[in-house]
Amino acid sequence: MNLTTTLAQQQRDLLHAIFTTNNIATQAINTPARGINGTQNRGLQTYQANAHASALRSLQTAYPVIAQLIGDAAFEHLAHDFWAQLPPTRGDLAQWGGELSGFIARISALQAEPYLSDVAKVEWALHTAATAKDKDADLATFTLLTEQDPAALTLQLAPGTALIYSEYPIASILTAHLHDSPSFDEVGQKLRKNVSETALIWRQGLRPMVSNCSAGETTFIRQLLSRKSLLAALETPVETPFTDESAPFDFNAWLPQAVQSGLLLGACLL
Amino acid sequence: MMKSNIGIGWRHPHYKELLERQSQTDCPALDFLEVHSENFFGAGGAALAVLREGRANYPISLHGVGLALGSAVGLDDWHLDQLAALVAHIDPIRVSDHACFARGEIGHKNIHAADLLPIPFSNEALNVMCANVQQVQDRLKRSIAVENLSAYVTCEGSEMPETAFLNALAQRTGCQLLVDVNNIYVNALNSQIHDPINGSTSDPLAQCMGWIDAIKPAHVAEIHLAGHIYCGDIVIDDHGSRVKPPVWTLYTHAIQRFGNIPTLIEWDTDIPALDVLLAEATLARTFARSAAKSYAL
Repeated sequence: MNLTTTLAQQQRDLLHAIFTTNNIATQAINTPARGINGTQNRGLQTYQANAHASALRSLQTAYPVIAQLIGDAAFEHLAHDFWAQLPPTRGDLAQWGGELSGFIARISALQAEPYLSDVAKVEWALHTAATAKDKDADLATFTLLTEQDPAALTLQLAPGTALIYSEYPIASILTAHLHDSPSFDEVGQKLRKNVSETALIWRQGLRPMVSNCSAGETTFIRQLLSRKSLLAALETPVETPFTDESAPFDFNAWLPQAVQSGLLLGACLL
Repeated sequence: MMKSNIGIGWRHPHYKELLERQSQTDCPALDFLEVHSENFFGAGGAALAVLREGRANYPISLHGVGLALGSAVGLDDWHLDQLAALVAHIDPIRVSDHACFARGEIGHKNIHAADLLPIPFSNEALNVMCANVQQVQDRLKRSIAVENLSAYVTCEGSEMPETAFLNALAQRTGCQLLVDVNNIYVNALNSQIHDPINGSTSDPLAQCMGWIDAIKPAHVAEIHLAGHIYCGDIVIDDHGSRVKPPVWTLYTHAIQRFGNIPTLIEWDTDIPALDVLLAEATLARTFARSAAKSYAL
């Protein structure tokens, strides 16, 4: 027995043994069966199996579309590698996985589907929106729109609102898998035509949502997310690479739709 | 008649059904619901809303799996912040976690193993546990309960029995103990499998009863019951089946020693229909009442 091993070193050794397959830290641990070959391995294998199951379950929860896109076997392999290379740092596994997008981008075997990294970005935004701080709609505040100078007020967006631009039709890929719309044929056509999209993420009540956001709406919402005034948001010209062929942004048409979809919660003075 | 004190682990597959039954005439007769604290971290969202609804009808016991109270590198401030916010929000009847570690340094970075890893029952580990438990209690301004583990490896350097370690932890910090009867039995079975020479000197049940008898009753705040699985060369505490008959026997012994302690039915893998859990809770109530009579005597 090595009594000079400090607790911290002992714990490092056990973690290393669990996170490194076929590397058993014999100085750190023993088993009730000292001298019986294989027993120590069996215990570590149990912890390793738990870790792999946790990794897979956790990533499946956060990335259901990536899992569908690459298939069960590849996803399991991805979860295993991601766990080993970028292990959790927090005791809440829901916090683990935010770096998957960058990790996917570095995997050469997945380069045939170059949109995967951006799809992962959107899925993580949906995942984090799910636990964003609740905010109720306050419809009475919309009277500010008629009473106040638009340069003095701004609009309140739903919890978790985010915009993610991609050179690929990521919003369509997401909604095709999550909501069966558009069809996979339509998504395929968009991919072949090199259609780029900006995904709009927000929470409708308690439900995370994603949709394709037009260039005009993207510019407008980006300004609101930067706490710019309504006037500034409306007057900001659409910038490349967000320019597309859609109709100009129509605030009067957008307003009721945004309220109905839960994206817009109210107005407030700056 | 003795007051009932039985709860179940409330997991995602049963969120909706239990809430629906709450508003109907067949509202399950449970004395508390236990949830894993980490599943409700975050400022808002559906999970927290569900917990608030459950809280309207049942007391909530917050059971953590991620504080890593035995970690020599200390606690994660972020984790403690999240737990403190949840405790303030829910006002649970109990807050608990495990006598384990999970945090440690690999490559100059603190990682979390997302598991309940064993610690040696040494004075050094006791000092670390006491400091970490005290930090949690100071932050939450309440005592917590600490649960014994099922462990699949043992660590070098133990200087005292597990029960002495836990008693000392409770004595020094004022924390309570959460006695997981299934974990004690799983450890005894694995000890028998892997140490046929020493392990055969006493049968697992007698070994476990000795364990229970060595715990000071005043420290015990909750008992956990769950299923386990034999995997040939190892027994795993998988929380995936009904409570096994020997564990019921130990539970009876525990109630006779500790009194009418709140008892939880845990089921975390292969989660069955809610009625199966409720049937286990009813069975626990029956065992508890029967055992409590002899405790009273």
